[in-house]
Amino acid sequence: MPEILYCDLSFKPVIDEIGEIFSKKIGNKEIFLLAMALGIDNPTKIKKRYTFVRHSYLRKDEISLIYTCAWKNLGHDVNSLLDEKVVYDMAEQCANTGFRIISNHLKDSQHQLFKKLVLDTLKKYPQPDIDDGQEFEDIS
Amino acid sequence: MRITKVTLKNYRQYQDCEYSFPTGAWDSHLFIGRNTRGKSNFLNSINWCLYNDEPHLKDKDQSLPISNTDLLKQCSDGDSVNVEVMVEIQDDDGLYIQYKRSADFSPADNSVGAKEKNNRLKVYRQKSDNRWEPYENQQAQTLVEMYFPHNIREIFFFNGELLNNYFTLSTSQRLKNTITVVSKIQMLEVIVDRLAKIHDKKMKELSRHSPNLKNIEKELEGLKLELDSVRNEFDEIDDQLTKANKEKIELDKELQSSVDIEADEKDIAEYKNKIEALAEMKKNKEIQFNHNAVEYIVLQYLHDDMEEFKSLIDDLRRKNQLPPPVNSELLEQVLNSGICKICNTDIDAKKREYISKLLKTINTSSDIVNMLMEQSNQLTSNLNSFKKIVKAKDTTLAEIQDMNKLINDYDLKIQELEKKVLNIPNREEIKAKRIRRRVVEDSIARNNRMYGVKQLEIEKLDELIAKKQEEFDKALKKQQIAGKFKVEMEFTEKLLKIAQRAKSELIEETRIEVQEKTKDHFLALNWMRKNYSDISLSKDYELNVIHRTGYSGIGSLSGSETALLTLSYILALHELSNLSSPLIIDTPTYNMDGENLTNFSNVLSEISKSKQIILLLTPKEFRNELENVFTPRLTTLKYIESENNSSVLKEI
Repeated sequence: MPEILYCDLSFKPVIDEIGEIFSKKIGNKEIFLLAMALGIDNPTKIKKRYTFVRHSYLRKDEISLIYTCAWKNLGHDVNSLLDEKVVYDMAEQCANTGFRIISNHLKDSQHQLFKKLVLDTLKKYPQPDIDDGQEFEDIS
Repeated sequence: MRITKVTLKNYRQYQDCEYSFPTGAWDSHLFIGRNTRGKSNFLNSINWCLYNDEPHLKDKDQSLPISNTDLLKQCSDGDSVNVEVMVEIQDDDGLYIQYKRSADFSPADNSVGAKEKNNRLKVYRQKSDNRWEPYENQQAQTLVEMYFPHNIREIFFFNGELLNNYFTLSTSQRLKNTITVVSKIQMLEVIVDRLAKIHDKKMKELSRHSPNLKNIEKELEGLKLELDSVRNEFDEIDDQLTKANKEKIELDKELQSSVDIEADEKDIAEYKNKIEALAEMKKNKEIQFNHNAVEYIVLQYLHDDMEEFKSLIDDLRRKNQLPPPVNSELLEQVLNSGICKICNTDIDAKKREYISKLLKTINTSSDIVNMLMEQSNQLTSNLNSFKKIVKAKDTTLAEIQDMNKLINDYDLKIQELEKKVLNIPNREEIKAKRIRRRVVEDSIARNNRMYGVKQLEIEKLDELIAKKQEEFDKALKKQQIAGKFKVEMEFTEKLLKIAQRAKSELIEETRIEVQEKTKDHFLALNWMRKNYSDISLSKDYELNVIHRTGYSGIGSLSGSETALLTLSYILALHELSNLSSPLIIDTPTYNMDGENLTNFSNVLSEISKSKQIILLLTPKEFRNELENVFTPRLTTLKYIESENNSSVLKEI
């Protein structure tokens, strides 16, 4: 079991910016899982590793999210999940893609695109009427 | 007055000795004795007899007892030596007085000194009918003071040292005291003291009866002034209240139908405050929503895969491709103990075999199964969490929407109110009047309070003034009584001042007389007049001699000149005191010789024409110059010799 989960060093500014958006009330663990979820469909390799999350901080339900991510990207092969290194490498690669997606959305200085990303995600799931982006104007 | 006889019994080196002073044309008596023969002790014996002290003791004599030491040594237990000194005088009326002091001395326990007892002075006075009347205690002492005043004894009995250094050793105060005594103002001093006491007494009586009317009057005036001041303040408050009430009525009328702009403005301010508070709450909700959103996004993106993954695991389980979830540790404990942990009964061989088989199956299942079971449980948990987070997210979002609605509502109300206020004609005027009315209302409330306070103050001051007025009336009556004491006190004060002035004037007169008579005596000597022109005794009682060259100072006088100046001064005091007491001088010419000694001897012998002179001389002093002057004028010339360790007088 790896002690540390890494991200690419180049995304450090992106991570800082996310912290700013959430008024520094969001942890690295949450940011990692968000990036992993956003990049789940297209894992990419990390070029230069940057210490990001300590494994011991992760709860069992959060580890389960990492295994789900790995199971999807390892061809639904449950046997591959026995190798923890492979599992966490896959999670880091998905997060790497996720950071890139977030980075693209953050290029807009008003973070409108990032907010739209969140809004789009929210819209995917059936819920009471959210008629426009007005509410999200206030989120930041 | 002259001394006629002195007898000494067991006094120091004198065991039994009598000095007699016969009369003649001249009254000069010379006693010559070597050192330690008893010249100074002769002078001491007179002092002891009259005053019970010995001022002319030498250091070596200090520790020796007054009684003759040879006799004291001979004393056995219980014995004592009786010492007696008798001084006999003849007053100006030719009558005799005998002063006798005696005391008993016994050896001291520590063999040093002696114990004294029965010390007493007795005086015998010859009456005109030749009867001798005895006196003791205070009466005896009064007879001493009559002829030999204790506080000026230094002008009767003295020695050469004093003669040479009198003005150096004496302080101005000492000279003043002597002159005061000589001034014979004792009675006047008694009068001054008595008058001062009476004056004090009258003062006390006056202060007891005098009620300090002025102070009471002053206090009364102060209270009345204070009352006036409070009344003025009260009137002012009353005036202000009347004006304010009138103004309030007018303002009420004017503002009766006007819109309450202030109330509207207050509402606007309140709405703004509410919006501010809502904005803060909304911000916190949005942070909460953002957290929910992140969690939601993660679970939303993984939702389908989680369902699929779980479904796979469930399929494996349904197809028995996964062993049932069994607690292998519990099974091992059952096998080890032989007791079922659930029903608490012994397990038989059949059951034991089943459990062993089950445990084997579990142990042989792959790690992947355990991992899948774990994931299955967590996936279930995550899918349930997703449902909850959707609800929480929606709730938070609804709350935010409610807040937005409220903020919009408040904003609309603010706009409406602002529009209403802006459309009011003369709104600034109405606003100003409303503010003014509030100020007036505050003023009325404040003045109403002060009105009550001042009313109480006036009542209190009225009471105080009434009491003080009563006190003043009583004091006025008392003062009339005190008037009598005041007259007496003022009369006493006048008398006291007169007596004090008389005393000062008398002393001053005496000082001038002392100065003049000292000058007369001193400059009467031709050889002095050659050198000195004047003598002065200042108001500060500083004696000064003016040299004919204008130089002043006693320090410029030679030894014999100083002695003559002292003698002149003492003679002046003798004359002014009207005391005819003799002069007894111990070693008067010790430091003189030649012309000075002749001159000094001449002066002394001249004095002996009218005053008894007793000189105690050493053989060295009895030189030709002195002998030549005195021999034709001598009344007595005797040697003090030592015989069997006792001093005796021998004729020459």
